Amino acid sequence: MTEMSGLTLVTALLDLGRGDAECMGADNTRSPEAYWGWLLELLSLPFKIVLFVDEPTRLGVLKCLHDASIGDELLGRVEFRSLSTADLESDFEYFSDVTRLQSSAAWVRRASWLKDSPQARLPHYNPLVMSKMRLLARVAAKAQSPQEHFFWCDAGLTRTCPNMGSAGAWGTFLEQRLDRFLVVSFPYESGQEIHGFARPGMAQLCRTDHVSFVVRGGFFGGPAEAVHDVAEHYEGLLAEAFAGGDMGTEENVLTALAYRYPEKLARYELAGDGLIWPLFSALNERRVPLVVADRISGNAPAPVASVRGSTASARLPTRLDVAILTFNSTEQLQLLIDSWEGEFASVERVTVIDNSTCRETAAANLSLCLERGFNHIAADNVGVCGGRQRAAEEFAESDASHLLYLEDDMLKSSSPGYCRSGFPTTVDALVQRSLAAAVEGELELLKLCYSELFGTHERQWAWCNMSPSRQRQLHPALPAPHPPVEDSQLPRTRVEAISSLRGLPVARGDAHYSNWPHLISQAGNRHLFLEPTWETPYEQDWMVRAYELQLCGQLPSGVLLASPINHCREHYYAAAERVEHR
Amino acid sequence: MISPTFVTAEPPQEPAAAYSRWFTGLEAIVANAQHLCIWHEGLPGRVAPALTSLSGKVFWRAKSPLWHEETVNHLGEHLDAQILWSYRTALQAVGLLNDAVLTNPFASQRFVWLSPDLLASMGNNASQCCDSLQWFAQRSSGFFYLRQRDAAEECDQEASVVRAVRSADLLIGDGDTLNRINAMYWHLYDTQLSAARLPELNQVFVSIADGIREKSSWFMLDDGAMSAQFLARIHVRDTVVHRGVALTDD
Repeated sequence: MTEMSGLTLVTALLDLGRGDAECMGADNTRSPEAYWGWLLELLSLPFKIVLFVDEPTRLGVLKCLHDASIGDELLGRVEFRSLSTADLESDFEYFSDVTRLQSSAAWVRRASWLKDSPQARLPHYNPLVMSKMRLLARVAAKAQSPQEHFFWCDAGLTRTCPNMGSAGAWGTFLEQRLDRFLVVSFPYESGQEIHGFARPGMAQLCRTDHVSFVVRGGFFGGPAEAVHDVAEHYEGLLAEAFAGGDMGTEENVLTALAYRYPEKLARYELAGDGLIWPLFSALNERRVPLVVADRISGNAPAPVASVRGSTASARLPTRLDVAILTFNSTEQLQLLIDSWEGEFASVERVTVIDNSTCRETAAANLSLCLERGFNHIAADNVGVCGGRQRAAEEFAESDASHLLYLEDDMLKSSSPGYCRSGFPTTVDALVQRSLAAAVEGELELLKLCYSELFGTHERQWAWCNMSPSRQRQLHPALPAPHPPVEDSQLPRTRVEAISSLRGLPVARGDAHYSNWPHLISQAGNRHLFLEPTWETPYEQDWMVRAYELQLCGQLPSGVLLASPINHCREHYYAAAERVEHR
Repeated sequence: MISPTFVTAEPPQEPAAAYSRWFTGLEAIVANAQHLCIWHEGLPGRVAPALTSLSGKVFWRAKSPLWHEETVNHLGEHLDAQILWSYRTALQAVGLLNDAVLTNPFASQRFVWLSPDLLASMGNNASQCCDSLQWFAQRSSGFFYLRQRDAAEECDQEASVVRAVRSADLLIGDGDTLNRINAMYWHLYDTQLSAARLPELNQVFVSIADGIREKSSWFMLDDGAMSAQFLARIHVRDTVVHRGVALTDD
């Protein structure tokens, strides 16, 4: 007699109605008796086996064993545990989700084959197969030692894996060599869905852009401590999958496990047919190629300013830098960059000041910057105004003559039309022409959008942020503004001249400062942001300072008579996360 | 541990913007006191004027004109000059890296190939990137490379070539493994050429990776993602790399 291995196989067999030809259709029908035969082959393997069964199946299996006169030897190492469809209804907390999706026409129509599949036809099929990991973990929880091995093995697996054999040499080898949780996968590149689960949602669940393999549910497991660890993650993914309102089978959840926690698994790669038998061949030959993963991590480096090149001969001749402030959304940053596509061609340096507190977003932002050749500064969430100040400080150290400042929701408009003040909403070659206009008009500050969200440049918005005494001094006839401040309470913006600079109409005068897109010169930057600096500056403080500088002629300013900025946020962050300063 | 040697090759000086970005990256590495081996395009003993402005731990090597002649000149019939140059350099990367192993001017244990395209894409971020690469190189073992899903069948030939170029953006290894890979690489390369096939970098790399499966590790780039995706991961000091192992009796 073959010596019994210390490895435990866990399996289940319930009559879920798959033998009902009327329900399943003739092509998909499998009788319970057929499963009993395959199960008997499995039970003949020299392992401890825990078998979750309903009562009819238990009786049927026992009868088969008795008829074959092999019952006594088997019964010593096979443990029957009761599991019924009623148990699945009460214990599987997503049972109602399964039922709801099975009756969803949109889900059933996702693939032509889906309507005849067991996961669509049988109410208890997914509750059972999605419970495999739980059943395995439940058994493994009673392990004598953390290194004791436990594997889930489908009751019918011997049908497609005849080489599992009766000697069970593969089991001994696994016990001796495997120190991680083992899964098997097969390539799965095409199709709009995976086992009924929509591909985009599946990719999201897996945190990848394309799911290229699927993990099989027929055989998986490992040392008890690994089972315990992996089962916890499995539960989280199961909940996440149902919370997303989609469903495949247990293989979708196992696949997400392999993508999300690769360092916890060892993965054997099957051929395209997905049959598992090559694994047992490799195990029997005692040479099993696997893919494992290691997480390599450490403390992230402190934010550092970029290193600047110093070789003049290698420099491009343009003199404009761009600073972009962003926070916790790569999609929003991408949206901004796309909208300004082509405008940065002559820019010497684009710097993204990244306030993101989300590590994943910061990494994605850096990746985007590297792809675009942008400079990336991890700003450690210095806040909206802290970020504006950082942009000023970076610019002051650069050899650029002007800075274009953008926040990530300040898209360049591409929709021809007119703003509420009647100015055009599109300007060709906006950056290049605005820079030329600022240089030609000797403007230290040039605002790029006449109509902003809360007001236009028709009125002097800086005035309402001044002290009451200064307000009275400047405009004694006007009453003190009271919230909510409206245009009618404010003085009109003083305009010295209207010019056409490089084909752009520009109003030269006391254009109020705001964090909306603007060009600023080195001198303007120094006066406004650096002499002196505030520890916790606010946009209103800069508005007032800019106005005072304008009044004494130290900040020649202007605003385009155009509104080519589309204030647009499509990707939101939690409002509580937004701060003005660190 | 002695810091790794970074190895790269000088790109053509035109277009100037691309050269400028590459040079900015180079300066950042030198400023960061990293060991650097640069293959330049000039004759032996003559270094391009811009490169002479670099000082620090730099070792110059002249790329022999023979390299160009020996590496698939007929590619020029299919590709424009820039892609041709990038592709040639990608094909040569293993050899250039191995030469740095053989000469090993800084007595390094690990070697990092940075393609000129990758270095140019780093630009002003090169200092941070090389810091991160140094950190990673000292924690990886065997041969490391970037892998991308092979979707060549979905693409036309040119797209396939471009994808192959990207896969040789970054190679990291120890001396012994790189020696072994170099021998395997040129054997496969010659085999393909003698069978009148265009050496296809991905194909060669897949063969190598299979041949030294248990000595290689890789980072899986998303579809369409560039090598920067990996740089971003190591920048935040948190990445997952895959490696081949075998359960055996050994």
